[in-house]
Amino acid sequence: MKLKTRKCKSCGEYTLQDVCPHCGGDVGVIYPAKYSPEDKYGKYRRMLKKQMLKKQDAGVDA
Amino acid sequence: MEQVKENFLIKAESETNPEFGCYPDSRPIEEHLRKGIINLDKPSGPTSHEVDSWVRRILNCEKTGHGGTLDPRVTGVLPIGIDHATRVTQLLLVAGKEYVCLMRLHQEVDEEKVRNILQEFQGKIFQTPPLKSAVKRELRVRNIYNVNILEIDGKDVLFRIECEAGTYIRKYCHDIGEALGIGAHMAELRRTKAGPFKEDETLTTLHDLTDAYHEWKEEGDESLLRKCVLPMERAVEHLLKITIRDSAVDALCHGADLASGGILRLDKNIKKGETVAILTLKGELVASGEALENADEIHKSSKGIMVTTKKVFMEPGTYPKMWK
Ligand SMILES: [Zn+2]
Repeated sequence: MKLKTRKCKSCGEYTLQDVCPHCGGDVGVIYPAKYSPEDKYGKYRRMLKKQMLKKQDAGVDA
Repeated sequence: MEQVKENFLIKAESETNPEFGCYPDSRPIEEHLRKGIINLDKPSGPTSHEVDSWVRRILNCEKTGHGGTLDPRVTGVLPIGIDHATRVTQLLLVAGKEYVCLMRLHQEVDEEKVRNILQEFQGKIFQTPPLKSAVKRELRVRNIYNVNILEIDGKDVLFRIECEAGTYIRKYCHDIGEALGIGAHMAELRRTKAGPFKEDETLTTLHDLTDAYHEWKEEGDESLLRKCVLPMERAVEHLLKITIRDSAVDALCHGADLASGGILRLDKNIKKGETVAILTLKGELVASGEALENADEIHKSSKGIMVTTKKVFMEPGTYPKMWK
């Protein structure tokens, strides 16, 4: 499924363009990722999330 | 906070006993879940009922229910009540909704014409439910509060629409196509608001919920879960409110109507016949009801039934029994 509607990652506006016409921000997809009740890769997703958080925290400290 | 006070009429002052009930934000995590509601970001694919069952599986709970069904391919705000809060989502069924819709015209047409037609398709419109619909196929009136065209790109029209509950957006696009004489269909749809729930920091994906539950069960950290699951009181933020005395609570829990003497403060804008949320001094949801008088009459009254109780959400025995 490829949707044409996008959403600005900075200001949250909806648009059909590749760059936000309101603030020039990056645009992304408007829908959440597919979910499967088995959630086979949940463990890896949580590991990645934690790593990202650690990096963010380190960034704030530096 | 001043503004909040201004919206209320004070009928009497009273205090709440800390030994009974619990402030909605202070419930122990198990109780918080049982009386919780999720502002879920529905993915494309599953039916709303499938999403309910996935949430049951993720949270290992008994019951779930959503407010305002979304078709399988539609994404966005789908409030889901858990266990004790399942029925609270019924209060969202009649609440206003907002969508972002991509409508595809079947031929190129002058932009001005499109803008004019969308201008006309505001206020009261007539719709017949779609063939597949579960409801009786009768012409019905729906109120379109606002339509805002975000972009037009050739045959694609992106717009935001605020509408009454039960408006069929697919039908709306189809009818606009008819009115333009060229045909049109709904290509993409996302719900951005359902009553008090919208796209804000509370919007939660199924992945977020899964990870938050895991953090609590496996790591003992409930903070993420408290971000994903909100107190059920959030589901009545759009309703007019009445706050009652501790001593009036238990009778209501047993289905009694609300009498004048139990009322402490009330929303200025309450009108006869409107749905109201009845809360304790701690802000806990006791019940929903129908106001029998306008706010001023209720404020002035010294006796008599002021609100008929419709749906009770608090368990009897939460507050002490003060009635015979
Ligand atoms: Zn932007």
